[in-house]
Amino acid sequence: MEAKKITQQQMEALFAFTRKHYVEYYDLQAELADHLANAIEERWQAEPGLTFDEALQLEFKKFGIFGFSDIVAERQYALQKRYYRLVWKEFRSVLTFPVILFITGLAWGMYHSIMAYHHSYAFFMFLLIVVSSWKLWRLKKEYHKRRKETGRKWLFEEILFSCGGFGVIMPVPLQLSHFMFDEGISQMLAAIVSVLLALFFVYDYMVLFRMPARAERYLQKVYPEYGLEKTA
Amino acid sequence: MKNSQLYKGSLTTILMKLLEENGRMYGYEITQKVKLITAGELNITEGALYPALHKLEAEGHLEVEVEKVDNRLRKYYKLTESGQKENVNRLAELEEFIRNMQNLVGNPKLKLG
Repeated sequence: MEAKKITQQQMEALFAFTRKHYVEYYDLQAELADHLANAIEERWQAEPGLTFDEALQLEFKKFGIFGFSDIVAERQYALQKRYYRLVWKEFRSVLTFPVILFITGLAWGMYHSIMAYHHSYAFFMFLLIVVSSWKLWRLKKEYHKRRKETGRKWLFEEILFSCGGFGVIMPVPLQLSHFMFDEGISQMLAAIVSVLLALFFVYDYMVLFRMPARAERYLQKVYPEYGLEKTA
Repeated sequence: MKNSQLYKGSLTTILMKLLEENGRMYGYEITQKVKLITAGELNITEGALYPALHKLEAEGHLEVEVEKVDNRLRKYYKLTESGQKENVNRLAELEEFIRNMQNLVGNPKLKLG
């Protein structure tokens, strides 16, 4: 007798099973569903009498009492780390001589502006926050549109379009402002803040503009199946 | 995994060595291969396998290929160039560890403790 194989319908049931066990992201669902399918087929060779559900429960038990949750958490952590490695790589690649000159010029301009009138810091800070919030909101909308089109959630896509949790670090310049509104700001402090702010502008540009614009290329690398699925 | 504490630290080394020998493999295949080689003595649990693979992938030591097999998406892992280098280092480290343990534990004249 030929060994039993997983049908298309059962495959869909396996995807549903991963979703039921809190695996939200398609990339991980596909990997785990394929794993379970292989394991069930192997089990059927030894025990052909088992039903699909019985075999599935026996195989799922092997994942331990936490089921898929550890795998999901570790995957999230791993891809966050990969994102920041990518940011760093991109940062080094944009750090050409003209860009260094631009950063220096920007920091120099802000330093003089702050020294002349220390409340001008508020202007730079608000410029940064307003532009970031606006762009972050646009990216969020774009991400939802993409999700609707593919009907799937991809973890790395979500990280890219939320800019690695950029919303959390966006108010950092606001924190710095505590030092800025005292009378008689020191030259040293003004210089440090200007450099930090200039770097923040570059980071903003990197994660909010440059990297989402290149999303397709990154996603293709992280998920070779990304293109496969789209054309299927 | 059997005697988990002893094997745990070597999991990534085992994975990389397997990938070096077999070119590319998918998760389930790895668990089966380990079972086969160790005659069922060592059983890599799914809960340990995937996080280890994903971590190696995020570190750039592994890259993935995806193919449709039996109408299912199958994700294969293989060593990158940096993974190959890392594999050599880790194997050397593991061999040294084994040698030292043999000297320490396998030497009947030496008393521990």
